[in-house]
Amino acid sequence: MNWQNVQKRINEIIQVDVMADDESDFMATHMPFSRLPVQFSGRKDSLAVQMSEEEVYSQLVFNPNNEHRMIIVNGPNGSGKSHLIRWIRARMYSDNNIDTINNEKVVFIRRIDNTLRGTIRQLLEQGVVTDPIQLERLRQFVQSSDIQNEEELKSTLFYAFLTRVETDKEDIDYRSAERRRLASFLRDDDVKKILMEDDGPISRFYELLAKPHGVKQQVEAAFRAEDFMGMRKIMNTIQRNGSQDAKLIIARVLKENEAEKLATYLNRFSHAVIQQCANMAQGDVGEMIRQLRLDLKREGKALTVLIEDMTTFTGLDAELIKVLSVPHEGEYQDLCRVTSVIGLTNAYYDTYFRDNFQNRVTHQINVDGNIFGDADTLGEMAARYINATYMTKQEAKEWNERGAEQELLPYRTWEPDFEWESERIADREFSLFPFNRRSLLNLFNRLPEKTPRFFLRDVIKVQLNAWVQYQLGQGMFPDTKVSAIGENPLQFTEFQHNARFESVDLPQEKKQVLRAILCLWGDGHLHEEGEEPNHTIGNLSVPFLRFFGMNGLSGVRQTSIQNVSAAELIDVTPAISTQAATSKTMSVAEKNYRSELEALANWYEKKERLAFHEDFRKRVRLFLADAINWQLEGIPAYLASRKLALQNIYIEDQLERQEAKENLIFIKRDRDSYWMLIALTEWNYYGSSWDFKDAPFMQYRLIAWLEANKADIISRFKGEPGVTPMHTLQWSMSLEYLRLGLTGGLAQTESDDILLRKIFSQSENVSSRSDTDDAWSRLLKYIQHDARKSQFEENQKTLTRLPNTQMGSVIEDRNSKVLIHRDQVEQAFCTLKNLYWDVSTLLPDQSIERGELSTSAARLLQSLLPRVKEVLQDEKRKATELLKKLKAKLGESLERDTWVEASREMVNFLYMLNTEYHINFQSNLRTRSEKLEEIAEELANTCKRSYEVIEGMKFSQELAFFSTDPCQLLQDALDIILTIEDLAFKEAQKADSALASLRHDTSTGSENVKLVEVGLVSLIDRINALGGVNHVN
Amino acid sequence: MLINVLQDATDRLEKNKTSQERVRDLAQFESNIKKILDIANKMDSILEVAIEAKRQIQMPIVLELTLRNDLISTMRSVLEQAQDGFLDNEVVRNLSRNADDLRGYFNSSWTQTVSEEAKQVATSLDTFGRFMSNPDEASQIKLAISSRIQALPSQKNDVSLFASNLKKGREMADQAGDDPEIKMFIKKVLDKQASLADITPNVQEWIRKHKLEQRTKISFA
Repeated sequence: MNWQNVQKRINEIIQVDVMADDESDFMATHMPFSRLPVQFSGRKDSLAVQMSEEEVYSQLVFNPNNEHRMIIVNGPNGSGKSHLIRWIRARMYSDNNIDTINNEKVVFIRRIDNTLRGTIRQLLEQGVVTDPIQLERLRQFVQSSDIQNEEELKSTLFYAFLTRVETDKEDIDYRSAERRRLASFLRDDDVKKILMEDDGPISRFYELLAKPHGVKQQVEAAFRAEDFMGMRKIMNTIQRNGSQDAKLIIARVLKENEAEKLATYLNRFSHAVIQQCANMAQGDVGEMIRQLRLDLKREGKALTVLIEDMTTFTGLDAELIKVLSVPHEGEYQDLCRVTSVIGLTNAYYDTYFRDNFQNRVTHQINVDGNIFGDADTLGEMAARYINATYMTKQEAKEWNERGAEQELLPYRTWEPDFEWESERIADREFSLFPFNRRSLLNLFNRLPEKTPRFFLRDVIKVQLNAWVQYQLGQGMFPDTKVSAIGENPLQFTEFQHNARFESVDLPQEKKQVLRAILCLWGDGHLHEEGEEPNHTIGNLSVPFLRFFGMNGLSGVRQTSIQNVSAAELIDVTPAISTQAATSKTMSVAEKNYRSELEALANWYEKKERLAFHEDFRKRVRLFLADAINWQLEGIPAYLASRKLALQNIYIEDQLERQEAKENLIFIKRDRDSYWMLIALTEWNYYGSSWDFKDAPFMQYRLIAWLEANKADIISRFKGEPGVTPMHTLQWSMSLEYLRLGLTGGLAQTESDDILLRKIFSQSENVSSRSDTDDAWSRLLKYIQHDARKSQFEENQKTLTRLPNTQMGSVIEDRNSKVLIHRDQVEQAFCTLKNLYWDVSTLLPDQSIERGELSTSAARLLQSLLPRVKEVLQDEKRKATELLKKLKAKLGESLERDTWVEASREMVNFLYMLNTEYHINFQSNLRTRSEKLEEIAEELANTCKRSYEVIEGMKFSQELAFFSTDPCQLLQDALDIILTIEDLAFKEAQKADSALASLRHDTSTGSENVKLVEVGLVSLIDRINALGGVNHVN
Repeated sequence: MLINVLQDATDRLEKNKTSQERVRDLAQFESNIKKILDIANKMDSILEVAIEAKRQIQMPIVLELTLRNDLISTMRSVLEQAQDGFLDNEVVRNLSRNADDLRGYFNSSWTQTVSEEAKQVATSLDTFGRFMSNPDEASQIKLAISSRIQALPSQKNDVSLFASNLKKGREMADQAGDDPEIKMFIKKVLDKQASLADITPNVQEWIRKHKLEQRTKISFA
């Protein structure tokens, strides 16, 4: 076999954008249309009848009754419209011995390069144009189009439009002055530049006229509103440099309605411009066809016009349709009969065939994708094309010239020396090698666009090329590039086969090829059955696998234990296929399940980001919650529960990136993790149960992953080495101790037991202290602020839950009694007590930036502890001041007796005030004064203790002491003393004042009193001045 | 200290209360005020005289502690009460008594101060008056001196006069003999310093001349 020739033939037969040029190749590969819906009118809603292509030909095209026919062939791109029309033509030529056909002039306009130039060239080549002048003009156009470069032709087009505007005489859309301004606007260099850009309107017209652009959907050659609205970018330039008219117009056309109006106006000239540029005058096409028909009539012939794609006549289409729709009767009986078969899209038909034209349509043939896509059709098409590639051109030609009968089609398909699938065509078997039906269907279903065109281009051609390259020793078969087999990953239907396959010792590239063969050609599994010559793996014949170099592959036999690992000893029955779903009745759950498996495959094999990661992470969480005995591992249930939060589980390259941090559970993208996630997905799909076929295998994978990662997970949860659960407990207890101290919850002397109960009692974060402005109060407010309050409350919860033993899953929130691990608590307590609750040495050296569960208490302690120490200093200072003041009032000794005496003095004084002098005062003064005697002991002790604390004591002793707010006690005592003193002072002053007043009143009324005062004072002085025993002279 | 403050307040309150609660008889008050005034004036005079006496004759005026304190205390009480518009009779009596005590004290001090010398001078004047150039004057002075010995004079002038008379009397007594030896002997007699050795034949002759043998006494010191 000359494989180079085969390669060449492949490219000849299957061209990228058009059908095979050669008619014989066309016929050799033609797939008969067996079911064509045909409507017998131009109305969209008329009833359709199913006809075969032969019936269409014989009943509609062959036209033995010589009826006027305008047959529209419509359908989406790539559906086969052009193919059908071409077949009609070929069919006509195969009937060339029939008189009717012999007397038929067939004009076949192909969509060679989808340009008007190409169309006109064909018209010229096929002798449609008879008028010499017209002939010359069209020749000139074709030639000039060939010669003219793109810029010249575009310029021609542009100025044609400009001229139309300038010479337009109608005031329908714009008045004369407006048209002048429009012309001026269009002449502006910047405007022109934009209109002539590659994706601008002039380029669109150019493409229609002369630029080959393949079979891709042709963009309509027309002006659009966006062409003008997009001129915003040159607005400033025109405003600066443009003419007055240009400035005016551009400001208008930036608005949508004005832009739309201008586009519509210019499009009015489209056909005229196209014709002009095509060197065609108005009416040329009509005249051309009419003249042809006249000539043919005279010759006794009829005309069949076959147009593959009507859009190639853009600019001339209206005329053409009009002239083709004219029947050869009545006043037009001098015209020959015309049968036109015109291919166009549904959109074109709806847009351009207005009602009157639709009425002239005699038939509609709908070619759509519904008639293509089943295994039979694919198989037959493939078989034909495969065979055609092996035929020489000559063979094909000869066969075609002989009538192109299917039964006589040469069979040249290369066949292997083992049995292979074939298709029955015209009662003969045509081998599908190197394809099989399964591969054709699978590959077709993986196409982004499921049309014959793409099937031929992207499946048949690509894989045949690969096959030839393989034969030439230059490549591998099949081609496994994404462009060749699609984006969906290839998966075996049974997971253990995936695992088994991964362990196959082959180079990666070959493995990829083998996977494609097994999943696309085969059934997607590794079941090995039968013996030679019926030896199959994955329902593929082993010889086939060997043929492509897959030697030594062993599958999974149902009863054999050889070459199967212990983990893979399972009772295999076909599981649900993981191939792209073909069933249209899949449940939502199943769809999700498949999607998840696909996502995992993409993640693992294609290194894509993992979709549905949240679901996967949830399952991991549930699994780990139960699979690890956290408490036994030394991790408190509460800690485990909190740390098993979803955000702490990260799968490598999951869809949304989390903040870069040390995730507690980091699932790497490796095989073990991949299988773990699959196992959990399976478990979830089967109702959170392990009751499914592959369960043991899945469980094995799951446990394998767990065992590989468990130690690391546990270590991370524990926070080792820096943070251990014991650390966390100590910090929590210490923090609660501080809180108790600040809120007055501590006592100077209390047993360890009582203190422990207090710490674990979850008391409220309120203080009995008075609201003052001192440092303690400020710190109290700080910890009672909402944000910190919640932190303390959280700490309380943590504290009780950390040493709590929880039954059942750690993540189940059970509102049960708390069972504390006393030994843990006591161990922590002992440590703290030895440190006198100053945990500075237990805190991490570095500042904790973010408080996670295990370190949140430490973080708060880092900020709080220094402040507490400051506050204690402040309290000591206050106490010092108070003691000093009290001493000034009561004397050096502040013992109990002093307080008692002071209390009594004050009480007596108050009593005397009231009873002797009838002076009233605050009712509570007496009570307060009496109370001093009641609490004299306490006051004395407080004073004594204050001295000791001021001298310096341990942290906890100071905190416990000041927790009870002793300074307030002393302050209260001092306050009552000062109040009483103040009262005494004021009352004495009042008495003095009263006395002075009395004396004043008395003295002002008597001179003698003054004399007596003066005299006696003088006498006293003189007597004092006299010598005496105790008098110093 | 608290206690001090309370005590002080109590005192002041009490003082006020006491003052406020006193029954005030204006007429009585005015009467007692006048009495006090009189007593004060008297005491003032006494002091004036005493001071003059101290100046003239070096009468000591150091008051005895009890007397002084009593006096001052009474006067202060008087002051306090007077300021209150109240003067009880007792305090008036006390002051009066104090004033009397003061006079008594000063009288005693006067007597003690002047008695000896005054008697000496008087005796000398009496004895030697006839020998003086102006025996009438001597006799007047002797009378003047003798009448002031028992009590402090009531007037300052009287103190001055007394001092002057006493001085004059002494001078006259001194000048009673024209013989220096006789003057010396008279002076010594006035000073109670004359001894047997001083009785010189000249002195002896003077004694016989003036028939003073019987008036001359001898004693052993």
